[in-house]
Amino acid sequence: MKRYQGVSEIELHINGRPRRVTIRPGDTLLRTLRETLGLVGTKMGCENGDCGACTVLLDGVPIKSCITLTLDAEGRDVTTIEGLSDSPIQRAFIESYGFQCGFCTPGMILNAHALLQSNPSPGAETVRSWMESNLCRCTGYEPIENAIRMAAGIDSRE
Amino acid sequence: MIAYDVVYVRADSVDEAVTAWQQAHADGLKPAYLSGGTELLTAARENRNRPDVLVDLKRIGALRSVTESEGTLRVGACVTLTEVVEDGRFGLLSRAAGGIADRSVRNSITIGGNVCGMLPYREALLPFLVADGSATVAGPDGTRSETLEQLFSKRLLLKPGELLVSLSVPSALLRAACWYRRRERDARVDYPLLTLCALAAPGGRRMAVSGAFAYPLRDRPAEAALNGNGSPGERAAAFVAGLPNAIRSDMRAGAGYRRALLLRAVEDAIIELEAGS
Repeated sequence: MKRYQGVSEIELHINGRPRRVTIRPGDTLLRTLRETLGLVGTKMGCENGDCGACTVLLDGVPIKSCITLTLDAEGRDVTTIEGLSDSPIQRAFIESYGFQCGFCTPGMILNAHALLQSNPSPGAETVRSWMESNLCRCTGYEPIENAIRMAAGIDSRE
Repeated sequence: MIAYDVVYVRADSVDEAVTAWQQAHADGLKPAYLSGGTELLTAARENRNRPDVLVDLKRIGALRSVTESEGTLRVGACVTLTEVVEDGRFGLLSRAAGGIADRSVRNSITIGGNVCGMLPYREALLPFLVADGSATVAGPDGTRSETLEQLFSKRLLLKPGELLVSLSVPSALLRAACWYRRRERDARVDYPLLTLCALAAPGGRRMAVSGAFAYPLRDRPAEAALNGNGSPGERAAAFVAGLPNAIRSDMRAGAGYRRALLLRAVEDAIIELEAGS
């Protein structure tokens, strides 16, 4: 059994690197990433688990970091958008114009990346069921779906 | 974030969790069991819930698995909704769990959190209600297993300090013909105006409802109408008229609209379950 009260120092494993951070038990992973570690690619949107802008991967699984305690990430692998570099899904978002203002894009890309890791050739229904976790208020969803299909090597006319 | 000094305890066993809860309570503090935390964190951020001590159950291995033995399927309380959907052995549960929230939130929400939370919908419980489910709970007085008929009335009847260990259903009902519908006001990712789970068991059709009432409901006396005579529409009307509970009315929908959704869903369920039998 582990007990945390007041200020504690813990080790997180973020984007393949160990990071020591000072936290309080009530801190969310979102705020620790942005405010303590400066990983501001993870966006703060609704802070209510609705919009998906704060999506990160925990052991490869997309979760909303605004409704996740930092302590939940202790001993697990955290991937933020800063942990991806020139990945197929990032290139596909650029080529398919899958973003406009870009605010939702890090969450979209991480969710789509996790989808393609678990299912390299997802059908349209699977793509939609995963991506309904993320809201976009400007580009619209078709270019985003096209980007995922492009990254999966699926002809978007299919 | 939780904007006050909360204490966090990560339990490695059910006994540790119960002991931590008891200790906090004895110290005059307000403890709360924590699983996925999605509901608790949003409520705490808005000051709608202020636990002093969070007892985290998520890393207790005994609560993290779905097992089937001796004619019973057991779902550990800290199994996530996504894991339940993908397990697939209890088809009606996979459908009901898959309708809750969105996928990345379902990656965090647990069965136990959904069933024991503060929100009134608790849709993951509906399949267990229609399939004669049972619950195992642990607390300061030990562990007990009871049928949901005994342990559930509007909410799980947990004593102070008790936590849900698992929900279980007879394997014989896992593949019974079933029917599911969820209706929302607008977006699919919203709280339900109505969720209906129906099961065609050897003894007759059963139905459990959420969204239409301020709590999940299975009413066995009213179910007699589902299996009686008359057209599907007449039986649906008799079933709904037999429910003793007030239909909910709120900013999402009035009681009249919810009643209409319920009547149509019950009628459609009867028609489709009969067509499949």
